Amino acid sequence: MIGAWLRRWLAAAPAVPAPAPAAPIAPLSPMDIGLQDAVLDGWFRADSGELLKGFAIGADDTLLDVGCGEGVATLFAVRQGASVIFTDSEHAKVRDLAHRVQAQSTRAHLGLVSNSLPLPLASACASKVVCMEVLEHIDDPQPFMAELVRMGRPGAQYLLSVPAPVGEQLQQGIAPASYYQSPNHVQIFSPERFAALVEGAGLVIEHRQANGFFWVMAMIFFWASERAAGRDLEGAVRDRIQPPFPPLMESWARTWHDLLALPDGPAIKQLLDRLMPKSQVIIARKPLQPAASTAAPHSGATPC
Amino acid sequence: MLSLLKKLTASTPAQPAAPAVEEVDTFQLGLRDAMLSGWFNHDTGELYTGFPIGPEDTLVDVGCGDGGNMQFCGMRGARIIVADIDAAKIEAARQRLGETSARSVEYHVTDGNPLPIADGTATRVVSTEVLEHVDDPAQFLAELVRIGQPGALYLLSVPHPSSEEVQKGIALPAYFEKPNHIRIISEEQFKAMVSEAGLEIVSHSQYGFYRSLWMLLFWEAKVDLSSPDHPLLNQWTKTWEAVLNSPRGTQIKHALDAVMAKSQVIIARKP
Repeated sequence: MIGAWLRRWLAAAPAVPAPAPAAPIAPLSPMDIGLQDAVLDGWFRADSGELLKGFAIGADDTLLDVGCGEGVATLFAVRQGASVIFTDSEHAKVRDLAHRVQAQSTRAHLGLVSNSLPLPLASACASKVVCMEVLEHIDDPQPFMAELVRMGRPGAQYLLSVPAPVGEQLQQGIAPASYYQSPNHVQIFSPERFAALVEGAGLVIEHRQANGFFWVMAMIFFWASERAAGRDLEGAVRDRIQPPFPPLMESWARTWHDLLALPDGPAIKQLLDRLMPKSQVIIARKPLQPAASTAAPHSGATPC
Repeated sequence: MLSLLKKLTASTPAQPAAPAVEEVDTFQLGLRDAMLSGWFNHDTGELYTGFPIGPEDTLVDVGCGDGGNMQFCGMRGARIIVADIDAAKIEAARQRLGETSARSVEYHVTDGNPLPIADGTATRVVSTEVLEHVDDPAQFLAELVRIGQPGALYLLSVPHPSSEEVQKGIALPAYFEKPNHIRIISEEQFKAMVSEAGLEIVSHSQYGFYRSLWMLLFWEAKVDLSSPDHPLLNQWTKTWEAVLNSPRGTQIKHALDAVMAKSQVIIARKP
């Protein structure tokens, strides 16, 4: 789900976020603190063009962003001068993002509304493939992964993320039942299962990380506050995390802000992230030579 | 410093008389949190869930600290024997227990090897946050078993590895050196220690997310433990207070306690 937040942050702040902590202003937005936290994890390195440390995007790249949401990855890639293809199951998300890309990019771009396989895109159309916090929404992740692999060029790099199991299990009984049903999360991935899915699809894992203690806590407090306020908890979660934030979430954001401001605050954050991460990320690469067992590509795809 | 460290990290925050001068009182909130975990149940007379104390009980607390646990037991009218290696602790316990209705109280300054207490004396034996400090846990537990009557209940606690592991590299080196915590005891090791000492385990539980995070922040806040007044610590305490005040606060607390716990508690019985 962090991907959803990431997407929203960037949507809310078109400028690349500065890595330096923002000056404390009251009340603190959990979104701002979450962004500050993500930057410490290696996200949004404008200087090096890395969406996440180890995943650099350049002007030569064509980025495919599957499940683009508000478009955090797509817009970052646009700023690096890349061509972008973005898809989402929600028409409004694609339409809004298309407007923003249109306004910021002179390069080729394409937005698609799709929630079924195969995606109407040619094989090997992308040199970078991003799919953040999507696989946990999919009933059958394996064919979906195969589609992602099909659309990457030989040597293409992948940035994939799913919720970490600790945070998911922790929210059970606190988050509403709908959180674990379509359109929300229908899968829980252990680190092993996530890796097996990626490697089973023929990709080679280059880097893994798991972060987001801040968000596990923030989300628990979000659920608690929503219930306390007697609010309806149905529907897509990602569309409901927005201001005004409940006091409990703001109080937690203030705690986290104060921690990160201390000299060893980021080190403590890392320890806590290891214990209770919200999201797990894999950076992987499609081999230049396809493995012998690689499935035959889908037919009938249209050029992109 | 060490006594305060023990007071804060031990499973039992100070009973009612907690210093309440800060704007947000971590001692009071820690007590409230501990009570939600099963400590100090005045309605049922349980010191901890599954560990009832009555006037007929003879209770021994080894490593009593300043006597917070025993104050509760004193109020229950039990006969109490307290032992600690630190004479100052025994003096503090003496003052706290003097105000209770304990049937009688005995005090021993001892390193516990052996305990100056006769075989089969106690119906209840308490030893919280001690095993991680002692050189020979098996010998120490054997002594505890020796002084219990057949059927006696034991309340034993040690730090939970989840919070100990997180504190490695953050806590002052002294935290993991003698006379502080010289070992991290896994859940399995703790259960094995108790079983091998000849006790039957009745329950094993863990709690203390609030205090675990507080301790972690405390090291970084670099304030004095006797008056831990720091914006970060206060902010966390304020946040946790709001959590506990929320309708699902207790449920959230239990869910988080299951991930990172300050302490693990075993209730056991001597056959």
